[in-house]
Amino acid sequence: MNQSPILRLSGIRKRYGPNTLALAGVDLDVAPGEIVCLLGPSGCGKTTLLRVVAGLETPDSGAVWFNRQDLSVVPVHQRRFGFMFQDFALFPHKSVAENVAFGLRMERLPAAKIKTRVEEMLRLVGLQAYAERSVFELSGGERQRVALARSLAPAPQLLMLDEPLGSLDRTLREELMMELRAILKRVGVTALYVTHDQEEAYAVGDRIVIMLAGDIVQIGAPQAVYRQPADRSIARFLGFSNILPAQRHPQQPDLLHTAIGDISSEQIAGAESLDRLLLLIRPESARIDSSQPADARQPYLRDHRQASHACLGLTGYLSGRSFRGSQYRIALRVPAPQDDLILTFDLPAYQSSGDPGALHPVELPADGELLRLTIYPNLITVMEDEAEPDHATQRSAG
Amino acid sequence: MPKRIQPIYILGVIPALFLAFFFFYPLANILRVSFTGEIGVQDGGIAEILQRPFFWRILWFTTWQAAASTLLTLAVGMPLAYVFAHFDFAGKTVLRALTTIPFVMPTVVVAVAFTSLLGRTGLLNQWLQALLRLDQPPLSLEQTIWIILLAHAFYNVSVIVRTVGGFWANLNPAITEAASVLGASGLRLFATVTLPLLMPSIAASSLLVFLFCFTSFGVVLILGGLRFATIEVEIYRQAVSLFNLRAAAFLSLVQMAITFTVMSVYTRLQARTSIPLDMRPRSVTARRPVTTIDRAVVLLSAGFMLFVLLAPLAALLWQSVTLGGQGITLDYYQELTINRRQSAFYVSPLTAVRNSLFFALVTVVLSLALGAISAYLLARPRSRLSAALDPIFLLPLGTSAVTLGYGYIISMGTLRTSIWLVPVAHTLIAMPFVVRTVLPALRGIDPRLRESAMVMGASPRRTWREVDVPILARTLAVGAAFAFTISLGEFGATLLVSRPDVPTMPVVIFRALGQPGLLNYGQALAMSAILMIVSALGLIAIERFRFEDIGEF
Repeated sequence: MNQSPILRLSGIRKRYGPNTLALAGVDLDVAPGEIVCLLGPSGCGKTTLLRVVAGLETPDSGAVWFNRQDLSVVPVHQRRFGFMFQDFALFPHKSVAENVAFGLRMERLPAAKIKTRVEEMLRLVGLQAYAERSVFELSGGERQRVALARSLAPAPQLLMLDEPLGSLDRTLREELMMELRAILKRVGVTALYVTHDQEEAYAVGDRIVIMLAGDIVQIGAPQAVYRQPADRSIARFLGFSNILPAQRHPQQPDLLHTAIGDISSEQIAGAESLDRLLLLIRPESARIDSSQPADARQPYLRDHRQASHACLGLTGYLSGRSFRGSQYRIALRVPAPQDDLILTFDLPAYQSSGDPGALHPVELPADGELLRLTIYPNLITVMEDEAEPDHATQRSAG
Repeated sequence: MPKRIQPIYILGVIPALFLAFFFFYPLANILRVSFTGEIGVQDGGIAEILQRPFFWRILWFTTWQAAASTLLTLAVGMPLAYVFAHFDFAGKTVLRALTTIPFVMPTVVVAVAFTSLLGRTGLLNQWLQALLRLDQPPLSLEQTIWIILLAHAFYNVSVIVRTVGGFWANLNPAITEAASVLGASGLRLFATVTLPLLMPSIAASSLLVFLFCFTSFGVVLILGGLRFATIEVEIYRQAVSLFNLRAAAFLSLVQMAITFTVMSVYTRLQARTSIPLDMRPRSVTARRPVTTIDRAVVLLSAGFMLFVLLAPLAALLWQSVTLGGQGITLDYYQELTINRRQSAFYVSPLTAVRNSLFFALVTVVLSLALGAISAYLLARPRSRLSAALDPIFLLPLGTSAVTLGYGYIISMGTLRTSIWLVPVAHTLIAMPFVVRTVLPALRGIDPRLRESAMVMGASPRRTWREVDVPILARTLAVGAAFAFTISLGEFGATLLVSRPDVPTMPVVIFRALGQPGLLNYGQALAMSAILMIVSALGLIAIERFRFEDIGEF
């Protein structure tokens, strides 16, 4: 990080009872103006971490530093942070404007100043006309905006958002993700954003912090995290299921051996130095290969040249499909010596077939028929094959 | 941050002490007197009391009249509950608000209202006599079991309509729809699906009704005359008229044992009714009556309900201005201001109004303060102390008023003649209601509301003021109105602990009823009418604050 951090967490530990370790010694630096998304499954401790930073929970050990000040002696109401709760926690007995004004009143600002600031905040979230409404009259999306305006109104030095889109339906969430990021960036506030939805994290965050079982397991830019998950459990959490173990061939060092066929090592970037590895085959890495009929006598996975480019060929039996509009999600059963592999792929519903001027609907064979795919090796990610880290103990504490 | 004792635990000592001194101590004394007491005139031991047939006669009468009242209440209440749950009709909100009437009407008022409608000289008899040209009034219900059962039903039909009806309305209609798709219909559908689902709520509310009728005092004392006595009435007679302290104590003990048993069954049943049965908001389940039959059913039920709720009270009002057959007159009201007897123990009846209002205000203040503290103490989540205290704080609900008053008589020593004993007794009776009103609201406050206030810079005290107080204000108002009306109408305990020179309105009404002559009866009517109107104001306050609740947030 090229800027000195405004927020520094060091060794935060929190235990609920003897059997639940919510936070296992978390360290994290956040730069001014940065939006950091804490991404993890429910129970991974991300909400607890947020509550520790806000001062709503006291850690068993470790410290929260803000602007080089240790916050452990500062009670929650003196931290001057903002916090947006999942179900917004709007005050039911106050109007929209009164909700937004709350933090300003706590600062004892003069009434006139509060009024202009409330107007300004409501304009920021596009709810100028709603000031006098009761919060009961608002839709889910409107409540979300009021909650945002309320938490931003006192110009907090740090804004925490706990699943702020979690209770909204899918379409609304998509729409508000972008808007939320735009508003946060316009205001320039430093933000910690908790979510379990990776798309939301990618869309909102400058940096993604992946938490599993009370610990930070990977930090990086959204694209970097998506492209290179650090290990198998992170890959699984991010939804990747096509994970294929491979070993370097003892006699032919340029060959990688897998359960469904051998491929040349030089095709796979990042594989050079490893003897045992995991190939993460992304669902979007495949296209239908209709250049020749599928043939079960060939190895299921093999090197394959397509128009002078090195590719991989994969053959398998189509075992399921679901039509998603612009694409098909298919399941491909690939016979292997022990258990058959089931690999899933997203195939575009339209594909160019030689004619550069047109895209044609993809025709899939019947279920159970052979299907031949081309795999683009640059979309395969290599991970070290180590014993799976013990993130297995999931907890209930949010 | 250093751990310190939460202030609520320090404050919590106050209601705990209050309960200890004004509830558990008198109860312990009753226990002591019934086993070892030597005061009393014609006492034998417990063994002798148990051998006397009167004891078993009273126990039997108390039980069967309560059971019969409950059955009558169910028979009338269930159809009304159905109509309330399934139809949307004009005036439903008003009608539902009116069902609160019996909750807040003092027993004395109801008893007087029933005599003025159904008694020998009651309105119904007057009309029937005129209509049929009879020499004698055709109905002689006064001092029969029937008028007692009718009054009990009047009191309790609302319990069934409100609880069973509310539960019924919230049942997911898809459940019965699913059953009818699977081939059940009509009675079979009701018997196999609806009734089992309703059963916990029917059982719980029936038990509650049984409990009310079992400990019935004012209605039986006033309407039943000397022929009928529940245990509660007998405790009063033994203690006050016969000064048989030991027998009274033993009867209290028997009654407490029974009521606490019923209470604990009730609590268990009630916990079952709160199983989430996939409830639906009422608006989905209720429909407008469309067919002629629907309309007739709704019209009849609503009309019947309106008549049952209002007729006795209207009769009371009418009689209070027409008694004596001289046309409309306000004589009886004017008589209330005059102290005819000039005796130290007989004050002008109107001072009773002043006394009652004063006691009611003290009760409101005491029971709100103690009740709110108790509610905060009980609302602490995951606290073992709160879990242990919960049943203790609700125990006074299961103790009859006369028992309590009697306990004070034998325990309070020099305090016994203090006028403050009346509001203390009222507070003890009202406090559980305040706790029960405030507690759900308190538990219902989303802890995140407090947290967001704190994050935005509100100190703990400020958070309480900005979040808790405004949200609880309405509930506290409802609790205050309850406490006010309970205190105004309280009869059993007051009869025993109030000083003769500082009587409350119900006590004065009771005294006037016991005196011969038209003037006294007219005064009782007038005073009852005043008490009714003041109680009705309390009811309006309750309904005003209760309806717009924020429980769903």
